[in-house]
Amino acid sequence: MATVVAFHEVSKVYPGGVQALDKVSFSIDEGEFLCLIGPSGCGKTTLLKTVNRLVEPTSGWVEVYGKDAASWDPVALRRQIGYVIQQIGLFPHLTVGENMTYVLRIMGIPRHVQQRRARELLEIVNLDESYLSRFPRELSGGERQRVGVARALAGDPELILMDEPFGALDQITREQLQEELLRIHRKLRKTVLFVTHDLQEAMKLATTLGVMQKGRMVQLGPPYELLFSPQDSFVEEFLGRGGLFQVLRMVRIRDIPLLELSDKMPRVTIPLSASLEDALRKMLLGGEQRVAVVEDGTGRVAGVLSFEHLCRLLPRYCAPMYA
Amino acid sequence: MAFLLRVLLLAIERKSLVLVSLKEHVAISLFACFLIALCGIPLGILIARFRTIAPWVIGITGILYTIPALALFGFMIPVLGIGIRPTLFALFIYGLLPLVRNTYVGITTVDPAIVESARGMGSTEWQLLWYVQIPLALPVIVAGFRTVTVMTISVATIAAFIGAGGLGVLIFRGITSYYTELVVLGSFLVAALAVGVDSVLGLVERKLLRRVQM
Repeated sequence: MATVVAFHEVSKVYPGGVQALDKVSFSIDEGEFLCLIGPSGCGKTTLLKTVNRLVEPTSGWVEVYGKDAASWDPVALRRQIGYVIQQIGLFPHLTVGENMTYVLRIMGIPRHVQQRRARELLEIVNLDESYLSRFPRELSGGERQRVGVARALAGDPELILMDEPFGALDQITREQLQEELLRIHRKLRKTVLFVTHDLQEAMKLATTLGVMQKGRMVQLGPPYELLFSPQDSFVEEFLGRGGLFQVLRMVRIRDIPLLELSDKMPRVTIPLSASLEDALRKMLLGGEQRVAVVEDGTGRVAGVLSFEHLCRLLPRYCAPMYA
Repeated sequence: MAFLLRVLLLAIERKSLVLVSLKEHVAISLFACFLIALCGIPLGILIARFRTIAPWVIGITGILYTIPALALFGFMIPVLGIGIRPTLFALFIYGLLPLVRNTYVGITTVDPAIVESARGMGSTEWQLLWYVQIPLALPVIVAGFRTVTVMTISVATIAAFIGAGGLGVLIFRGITSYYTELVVLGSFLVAALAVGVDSVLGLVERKLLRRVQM
């Protein structure tokens, strides 16, 4: 897999002496969904902004699309990278259609191409065509951020930077948009660098999770790896707060291998589409060590899930489905 | 009441003088405002783009702004003579500051999130100005232009003093001949003109403001 972004000992000291980044090195591969998480002020946003050169590193260098970012013309570089921020930053004087195709407009792409692209983009983010001529002030917060995401996809960039894009939305809208984003990511296979301080969000979205603290990358890896073998007490504490439960909620029973029904049929059954959390709940509340897993429509027994089995499998299969 | 009636009768009686003065006044003000917009808006844009010179430009226009109108007309006579040229020059000098400052402030106070996203998507500095900052600054620029027009219309009254005509002629004639009705008539017309133009521009401003609100 090709490397899209690579950080090489990137440090940033802001005027006034605040060290935002301290020798950060890692790379992001094509198609990866990398979430950066950490307490506020840990440098995650600064790191993200070194990619599209909104922040220049004090030392070290960032490689983007195989070239030193510093040797890119910043304007040309930014046009090839999608960018979504928490405040969204839609242009209030432009329609939704014009907002989405802004990057095509500044690149001088003909108007009819822009309009065609605007329709495609609306479809990608699940908004109907009536939105084209509306203005941002007429949209809800969730709809605005959908347009924000669509706008980042307009120029069909390989890489998309997202800086806490759903941070200002309510819980329900946020979860909806996370699902949408997962769907878009699976479909379009873009590389995403996503900054968040919401652990559930990171667990849900990330194929790779990076935990940052005080400008350093503390640990980087698949979410389940961080969860089950945290490098130090900081990562453990940080992910311990709900990380496991989020994983249990995410993983479906159909994604893990089941035991065969060998002896007695368990008393409790659970559908294949249920999550591991559902299975655990049934076991705990029913006082059962084993549950029978049945197919959703037919009710045919597909296998058995036991508590012991679950404990053994969890570290290996807890990653989101496509990890 | 009787006094107002006398003013009205006077306006009808001296219709041709009133109309000529009004036309002159409108012409002077319009032309001055046109010149101010022509220079003030680009100058404001320029200093928003190159911020380091902004304090200098605003400082200098600010100093010019504080020179008393009457004194400025006086200064101009030896250089530009009397009549329309020194008048336009003085009005121009006066009107520059509010428009330059409002253009600059309008552009530089656009929501930073909007500016960041425009820049992050790869706008050049000029594209950022042209497609984002200036359209969003328009209501503030128009507000500045409103100030300029009202000021220009009222200051243009003094132009009569240096022979440029306008509604000031009625007022000066009224003062020198103790003809109060004439003074009131002239003043009323100046005020009506200013208020009229101001409210029209006010409508434009509100319309623009709605367009740029989130």
